[in-house]
Amino acid sequence: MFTLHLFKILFIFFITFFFTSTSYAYLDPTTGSVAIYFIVGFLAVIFYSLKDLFYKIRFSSHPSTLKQIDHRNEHIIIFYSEGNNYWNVFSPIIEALDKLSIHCLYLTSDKDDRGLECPLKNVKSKYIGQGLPAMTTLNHLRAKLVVMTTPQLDVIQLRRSKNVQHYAHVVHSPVGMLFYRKFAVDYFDSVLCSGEHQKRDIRCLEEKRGLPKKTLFSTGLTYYDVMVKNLNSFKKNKNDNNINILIAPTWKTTGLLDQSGIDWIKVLLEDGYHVTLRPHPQFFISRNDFIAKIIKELSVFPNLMIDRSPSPEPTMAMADFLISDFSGIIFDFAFLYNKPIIILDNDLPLGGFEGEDVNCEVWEIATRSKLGSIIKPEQISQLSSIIKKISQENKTIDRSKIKEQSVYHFGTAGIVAGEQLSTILKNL
Amino acid sequence: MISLFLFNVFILPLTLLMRAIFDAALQATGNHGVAIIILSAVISALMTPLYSFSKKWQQNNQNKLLNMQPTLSSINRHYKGQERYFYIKTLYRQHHYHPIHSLKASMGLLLQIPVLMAAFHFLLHLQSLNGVSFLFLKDLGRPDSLVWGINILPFIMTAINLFSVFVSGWGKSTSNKVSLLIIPFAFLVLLYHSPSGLTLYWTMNSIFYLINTAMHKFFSKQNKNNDPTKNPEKYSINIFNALSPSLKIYLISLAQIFLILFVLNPLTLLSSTNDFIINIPNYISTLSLCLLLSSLFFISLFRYSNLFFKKCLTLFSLFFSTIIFIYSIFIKKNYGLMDHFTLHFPQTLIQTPWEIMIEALLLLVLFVILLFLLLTFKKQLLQYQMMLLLAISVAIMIELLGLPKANPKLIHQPNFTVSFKKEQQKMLSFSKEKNILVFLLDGFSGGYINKFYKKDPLMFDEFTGFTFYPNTLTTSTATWSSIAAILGGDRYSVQFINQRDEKSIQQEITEAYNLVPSTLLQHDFSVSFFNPAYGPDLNSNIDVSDLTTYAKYFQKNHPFWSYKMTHNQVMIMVSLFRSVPLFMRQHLYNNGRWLGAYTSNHLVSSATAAWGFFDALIKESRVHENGKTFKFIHLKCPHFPHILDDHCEINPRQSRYQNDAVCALKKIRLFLQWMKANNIYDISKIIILSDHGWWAEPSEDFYPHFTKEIPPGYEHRFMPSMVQPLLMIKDFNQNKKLAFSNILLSNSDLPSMICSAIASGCRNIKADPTKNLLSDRTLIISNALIPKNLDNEKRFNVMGQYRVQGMIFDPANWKKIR
Repeated sequence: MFTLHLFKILFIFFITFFFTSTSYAYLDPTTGSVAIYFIVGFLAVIFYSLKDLFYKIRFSSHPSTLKQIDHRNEHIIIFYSEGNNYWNVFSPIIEALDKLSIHCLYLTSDKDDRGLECPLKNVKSKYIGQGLPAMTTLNHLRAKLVVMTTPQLDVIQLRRSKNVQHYAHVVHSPVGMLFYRKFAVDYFDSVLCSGEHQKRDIRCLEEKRGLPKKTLFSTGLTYYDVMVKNLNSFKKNKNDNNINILIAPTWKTTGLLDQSGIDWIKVLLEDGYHVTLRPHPQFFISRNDFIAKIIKELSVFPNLMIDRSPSPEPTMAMADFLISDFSGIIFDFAFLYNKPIIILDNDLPLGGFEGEDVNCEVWEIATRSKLGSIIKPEQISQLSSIIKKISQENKTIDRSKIKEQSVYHFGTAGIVAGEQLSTILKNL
Repeated sequence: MISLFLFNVFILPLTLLMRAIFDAALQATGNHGVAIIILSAVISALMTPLYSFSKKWQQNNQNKLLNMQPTLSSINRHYKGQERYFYIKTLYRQHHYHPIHSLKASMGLLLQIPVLMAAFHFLLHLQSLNGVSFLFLKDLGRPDSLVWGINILPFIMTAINLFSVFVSGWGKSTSNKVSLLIIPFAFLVLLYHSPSGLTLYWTMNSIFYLINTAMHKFFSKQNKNNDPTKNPEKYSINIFNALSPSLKIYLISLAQIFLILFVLNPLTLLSSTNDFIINIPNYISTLSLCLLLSSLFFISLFRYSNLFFKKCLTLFSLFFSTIIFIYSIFIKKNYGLMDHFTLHFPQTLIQTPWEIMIEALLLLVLFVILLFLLLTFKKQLLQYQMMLLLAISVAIMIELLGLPKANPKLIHQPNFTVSFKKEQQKMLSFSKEKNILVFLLDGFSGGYINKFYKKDPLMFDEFTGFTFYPNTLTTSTATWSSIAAILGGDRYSVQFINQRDEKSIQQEITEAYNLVPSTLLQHDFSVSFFNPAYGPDLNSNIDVSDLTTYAKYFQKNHPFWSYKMTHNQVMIMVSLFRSVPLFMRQHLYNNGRWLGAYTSNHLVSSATAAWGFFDALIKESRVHENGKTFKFIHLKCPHFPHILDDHCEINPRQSRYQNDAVCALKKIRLFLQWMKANNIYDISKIIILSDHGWWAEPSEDFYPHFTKEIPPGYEHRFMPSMVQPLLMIKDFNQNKKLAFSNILLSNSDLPSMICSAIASGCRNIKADPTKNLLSDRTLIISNALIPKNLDNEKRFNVMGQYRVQGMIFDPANWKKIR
C-alpha cells in the first residue's frame, strides 16, 4: 500500500517536473491537475486505440463467404437466420412474400436448416458458415432490405452494410425488450414487434439514448402461425389419466432450480405425478455439470422424463401443468394450450440488460400473474397440494385479453409481416 | 531545426505581441514596472476565454463520464472480453464520446503553454529592464534581494498562488492535492533567482488569476441554472462537427484564402524566382500572429452577427475564396518578366472598358451560381470546399518538398557564412601570366567620365594605361538588343540578326556568348563569366558565377540592410496580384510601387550582388591561377536601382544614378590598386564598357541642337546620354596617365579588342579598330523593343535605326535608316 502511494507521488512529481523543468515552462497552480489528467487521457487513448486495432485486425483476418452469394443483381430481401430453430419464425413470412412474388434470399448459419430445402419459387437459400466468416459476409450484403432475428446490429461484429437500405428486426419471443442484452435493436431501422409492450420498451430506450425513432410494426409472433397449424398433430392420449407436469426452468442462477433446489420435484415424483423436466438448452452449454448432477439424482424415479428435443411442442401437448420461473415457454403454453401454469415468484434481475438503463415499467412483472398462479419460494413444498387443488377446481382459464395484449395477429402474423415488409420495400 | 520551427510558429509571434503591448504600455506610462503590470493584465485578460473554455471542456468531459458511469460499470460487471469492448464502444458512441476527448479537455492547458513560454522568454531577455527601479524594487533586471539578500517577491507570488489553489477548490484526491501544491512550490524554485521584472509579472499574473478564479466561481454560482455543463449534449466537445454548415463553409473558405494567399502563392513564387529575399523566421512568425489575430476577428465577427449577416459572411467568404482560387491557379496572363518587381509589359495590365465589363459580368454570374449552390446544395458545397482545402494542402506539401531544389538560396539564407564555390573561386583567381578582364557596367553613360574627370582627376590616378573613348556609339540602346553584339561582334547586332531571320534571338545570344570564349579556351585561357545576361547556354568549360553568393557576401557585411530589404510584404502583394481579377491588377501593381509595399529599402536588395561582388573582388581575390584567365563581369550598376549616396554609403533615399556610377569607378580603382600591389597589372588587359547609356545628363561634347535634330524616339532611347556607352581600355604593359581618344568605336568592338590579345586573333572576329584605324567607319545604332519571347522570336521589333559616321556628337553625322 505504502509502495503504491509512494509510486503515485513519484509519478505526480515526474509529471509535474516534466512540465516545469525546462526554463520556459509555466503552469498556473490549479491547472497542474490538468497535466495529470492529460497524461492519463493520453494513455487511455493509446490503450483504447490499440484495443480497437486488435479487434479490427482479428475481425478482418477472417475470410468472407461472400463469394458464394451471387451479387450480380442486388437482392430485394435477404433473411438471415442463426439456425434451424428460427425457421419457424421466418417460414411464415417467406411464404407470404412468395405469394406476393417478392424474391427472397435466405442465408443461414446452420447446415441443417430446413430453410435450405425451401421449395418456394421465389426463394433461394444459402449456407454462409458460422462465426466471423458469416459476419464478414453479412457486413457486405447488397440488398434493399435485410431481415433478421439476430440483435445488436452495428454493436457487435455484425455491422450495417452500406449497400443495404433498410434493416428490420423480427422478434421471436413475447418477452419485452428490457430483457434483451445491451443496445439490442438500437441500430435497426424497424422492428416487427410482438405486442404493444415491446413498442413501449423500444420508445423508452430511444428517448433515453437520444436515438432516432425506428418504425415499429404491430406484427405478432410468426412462429405461432406454425405452432397453431401443428396443434392437432400433438395431443395427449385420451387413455392417459395421469397428471403430466412439465417443469421448464431457465438456465440462469435466478431460475427455479437454483432458487428452490430439487426436493420439491422429488416430492411430486413420490406423489405419483408424471414429471417431464425440460431444462433450457443453454443449461447443457453453460452449466452442464450442474444440470447433469440434477438429472442423475432424479433418474432413480421411473415417472421422470428428461426432454431435450429441439421443439417443445410434443411435450407441451402432453402436459397438464407447466411449472416454470420466467421463461418464454410460459407464453407458448398459455396461448397455445391454455392449460394451468404455476410460476415461481423469483426476482427478475435486469443487471446487464436493457432494462437497467431506463426507468420504464417492466411488463413481465405485471403480466406473470395473468398467465398463471404465482407461488413464493417458501410455498414450493406445498406444490403437490396446489396442483391437486387446481386440478379439482378444473376452472376454465380466460387468457384472451392478455393474449391479445401480448401478441398481435395470433396465428396470422406471417401474412401481416409479409405485407409490412412489402410496405417497407415500397417506401424505399 | 524542428524546435526552431516550433519556436518560430508558436512562441515568437506571441513574443512579438507581448513586445508590442509592452512597448505601447511603456510609451504611454513611461514606467517599466507599470508596463509589466499592464502587460500582465492584458495577457491575463486575453487568457480569460481560454481559461473559461478549458474549464468548460474539462467539466463537460467529466459530466459525460459521470453520465456513462452506471452503464459502464454494469457492462464491466456483467460482460467480459470482446463483448464488453463492443458494448463500451457503443456506449461511447451514443454519448458522442471518445477517450481522446480527455485530451481535448486538456487543450486549455496546452494552449496556455505557448503563452506562458513566450512571456518567460520575452521578460527574461528584456535588456531594457536592467538598472530600472520600480517602487521598492531597485533593479527590475536583477532579483529583488529585499531583506538581508533574500528575494521576497517570489515568496509573495507563491503565497498568492497557494491562496488561489484554495479559492479554486481543494483537490478531491491525494494526487490532486499533491499536484496542486507542487506547482506553486516548483515556481518558487524556478523563479527565485529570476530578475524581479519577471517575478513581478508572475506575481501580477497570479493576482489576476486569483481574481479570475474568484469571479468565475462567483458567476458560476449565480448562473447555476444556466450552467452549460448541465447540458453536455448542447456543448459538444467535438467543436467542428457541432458547427453549423454555414460556419463550416465560412471557416473553410477563410482557410483557403489564407493558404493560397500566404502559403501556396508565395511558395510558387519562391520556387520560380530567386528575386525574393525572404526572412523566413520573420515571415512565419508574422504570419502566425496574423493568423491568430485574424482568426479571432473573423470568428468573433461571425459569432456576434445576426442571421442575415452570417449568411452574407458565408457567401462572400465563399465568393472570395473561389475567385482567389480560380485566378491563382487557372488564369495566367503574360505581363513579361518581373525585374526588380517591375513588370516588363505594364501596358498589358490596362484593361479596356469592354474587357472590364465582361469580367465583372462573369464575376457576377459566379456570385449568383455560388449563391444558388449555397442555398440549394449546401452539404455538397461543404464537401467540395473540404476537398479543395485538401487539394490546396497537398499542393503546398508538394511545393514545400520541391522548394529546396528550386530555390536553394532561400534555404541557406539564414546562414550568413559565405563560402565561395569552385567557379566563384575561379572568378576571383588571377594569373601571373596573362589576364583579360572585361567589366560591363550596365547602363553607364560614357559622357560621365569627362564630368568626373573634370571634377576630381585624382579619382583616375590609378587608371594608368587606360584610354577613354568618348566617341563610342552603342550598338543598341538596351541590354536585350545589344548584349549579343557586345559578345559576338557586329554580326550579332540587331540589323544582322533581323537580316538573317534564321535562329531565335535566344539562340543568337547563346552563339554570341560562346564565340570568343571558344577561341580563348583553345588558347588555354581559363574563362569565367559573372552574371551572364539572358541565361545563355554556355560551354561546359566556362565557369559561371551567379549572384547568390555575392548577395550573401553583401548581407554579411551589411547585416542591417539584410533585415531591412526583405521582400516579405512585396511577396504577399505579388501573391495577391496573382489572385485578383484582371481589372484590379493595375491598381495593385501601382506602377511598381505595389501599394507602398515596395519601398526604397527594397531597391537595395536588387543591387546587392553587384556591390557584394566588388567587395569580394577587392578583398577575396587571389593570384594563384596557373594558366591565363579571361573574366567577363556583367554588373548591374549604375543601372537602376540606385542605392548609394554621395559617400558611397547605402542610402536609397539619397541615391542617384551619378553616385552609383562614380562609386563603381571607385571600386574598380581599389581593385586596380590591388592588381598593382600583386604585380599583375601589367600582364592584364582591362576593358571597362557599358551596354548602353542611361537617361541622364548628356555629355557636353554633344552639339546643343542634337536633341532637336535627332528626336529621342521610343522610350527616349535616342537621347544623347543613352546612345553614348562607356568604353575604357587598358592594354598589356600600359602605364601612362589616362588618355582620351576620339576615334569612332562601338561597344560591339569588344570581341575584336579581346581577340587582339591573342596573336592569331579569333575566327569571324574583325581586327581591333583601336589598333587598325578604320577611315570612314560607319556604325549603326538601333532602338528595339524587348522581345516577348526570346526563344520563339527571330527578329527584333525595331523602333528606330540610324547610321552614324565620324563624331557621334554631331547630329549631321546621323542618318536615319528607319
